[in-house]
Amino acid sequence: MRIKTTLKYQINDYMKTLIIYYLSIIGITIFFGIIPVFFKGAGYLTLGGFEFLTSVMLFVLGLFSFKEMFLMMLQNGISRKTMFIGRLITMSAVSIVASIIDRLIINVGKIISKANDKIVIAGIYDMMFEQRNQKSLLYNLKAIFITIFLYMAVILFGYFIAAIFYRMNRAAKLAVAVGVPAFLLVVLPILDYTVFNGKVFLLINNFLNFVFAGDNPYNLLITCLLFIAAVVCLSWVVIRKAVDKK
Amino acid sequence: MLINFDDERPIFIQIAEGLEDAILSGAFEEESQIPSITEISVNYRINPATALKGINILVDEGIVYKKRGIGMFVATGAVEKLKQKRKEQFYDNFIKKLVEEARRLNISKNEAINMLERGFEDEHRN
Amino acid sequence: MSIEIKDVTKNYGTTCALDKVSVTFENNTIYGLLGRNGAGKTTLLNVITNRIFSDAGEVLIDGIPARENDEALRKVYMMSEKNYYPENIKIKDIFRWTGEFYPDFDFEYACSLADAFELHLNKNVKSLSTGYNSIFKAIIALSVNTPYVLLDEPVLGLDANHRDMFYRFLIERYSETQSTFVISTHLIEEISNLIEQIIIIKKGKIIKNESREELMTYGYTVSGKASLVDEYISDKYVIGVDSIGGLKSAYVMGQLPKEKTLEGLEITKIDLQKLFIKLTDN
Repeated sequence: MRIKTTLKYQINDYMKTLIIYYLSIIGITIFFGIIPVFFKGAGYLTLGGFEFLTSVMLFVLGLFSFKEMFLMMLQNGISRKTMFIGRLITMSAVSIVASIIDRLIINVGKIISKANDKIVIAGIYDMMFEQRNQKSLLYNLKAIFITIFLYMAVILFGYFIAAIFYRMNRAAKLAVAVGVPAFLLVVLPILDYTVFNGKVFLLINNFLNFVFAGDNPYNLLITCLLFIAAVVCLSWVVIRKAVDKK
Repeated sequence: MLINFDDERPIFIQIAEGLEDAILSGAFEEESQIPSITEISVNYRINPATALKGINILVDEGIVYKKRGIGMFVATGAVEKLKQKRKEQFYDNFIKKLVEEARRLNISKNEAINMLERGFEDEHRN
Repeated sequence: MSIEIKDVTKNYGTTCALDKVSVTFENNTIYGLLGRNGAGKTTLLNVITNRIFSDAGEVLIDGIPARENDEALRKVYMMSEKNYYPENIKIKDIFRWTGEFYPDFDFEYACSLADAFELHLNKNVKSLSTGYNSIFKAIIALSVNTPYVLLDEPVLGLDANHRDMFYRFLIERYSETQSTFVISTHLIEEISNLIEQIIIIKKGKIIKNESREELMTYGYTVSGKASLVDEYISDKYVIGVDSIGGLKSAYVMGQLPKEKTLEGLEITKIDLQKLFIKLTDN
């Protein structure tokens, strides 16, 4: 298997985006956030939700991970199997790196927050889980570990959507792009209100509580693992028969 | 070496003849090197195998030979050999066609012979 | 050492693009894969290179099944009309990556070709014209040094000068590397002298698979007065006729007769393009 070269190329593909993202985040944070407040006393600054931003970045990265790569691999005689395995590996690697970097940023943020009353920098994970004892190494390792799987779920989801959209013809693409949001935002609420007496939303609410609102991050972990397993399988089903379209 | 591929015969034969013409005319002297297969095929935009086939005709007839590691060379005595061969082909290539054309145009044997004599004289004068 | 295509069938809905196609591409040969638009040439090449999947049959590259197999596929490089390279990458980076995926890729040679064609290596794929799109892919195909190189319309959009350059480089390269080149094209007359083996595909079926010489020797044109021609061809295998007024030209498959003129008829060689047209006419 020519997996090494494939990995090299795929990582290279991600590098640019990652570097731009983190330089931007850090740059913006420092230049428009920290410096004005810290040094010039310019009001308050609250920075949060790093994991959310990174998730969005990773989701978009996943969305763009399919078509261009697929064609390039076809041109260079790489099988879909090798390409897919390569992507899984690189997506995992990116998730790990992003998780570690985010945790570092958040910890640095905490130090800055301590140093200046007017600045509050926090990560979502910290706000959601285990409110006590957030300074230990174990806590941070656990946070990194769980965030990795959250990120993997997100980037794989983007990849899956990209793959399935590639396979679909125009009609199907339109149906999904319009139909799914329409269903979720219009049909479902109406149905729920009229037919199900709000039971659907209750279900969704309970699920979200289960995953995010408890003090226990392991619910999130399990959910992510199950999601990842499902998405990986579905993605392969979609990709293994993908062909070059005329 | 000029080859006009509008001719109808197989390309490798035309390559062989083109080389023969060049040797007869002295463009390629005996014991000098002739272009390589690659050079010939690139120059005339033909498949190297075709060029090789053409050259091999000359090798078989002893007109050219291969010096290992260097290339193809014109053999000593090649010019004589070629003249001999062409003489033998002269009847088929020229005389026969001449007669056919003469018949088509209703030129009698005597008329043809007279023209032939005139031809030699003109050539002689020039 | 060859690419064997065995009974490959490919359907698109009700259309049969390839119908039990069997053909072998031996090593160290230049093939011409000729066919009309939609005959199945590109489909066949795409099946070989794992870009699309056949519905039946298999492709073996040096004995190894090619389908989803990295080891087999690394022996083949295909240059296609469509661009599979990322649009925002520089040409020289594409050369570099090609060298990673195909270790025998000759980077220096590719650069020298780019020079000869005046292709700027710092340009993006996106910024290239149709002609230069073909040129950069052709350069890669000439530099990649895989045992088998498939060229689908390699000179599309190239001006006459560049086409000529391409053929020269192709012959030169072929002499050195002795890879097998399969050229699929419409420009039959231009490549006629280059190819050794001709494969003609018509509506998904292979109708001719012969050496160029065999094909050219066993085909000729008979021209003259219509009635004389008709009489002559009454017992011959004719693949087509052209008529102007009382004159007729018939294209005959058979041994070229010794006599070039018989009884008011003229016998001439048939050129490959004419042969192709008559064989693939409906």
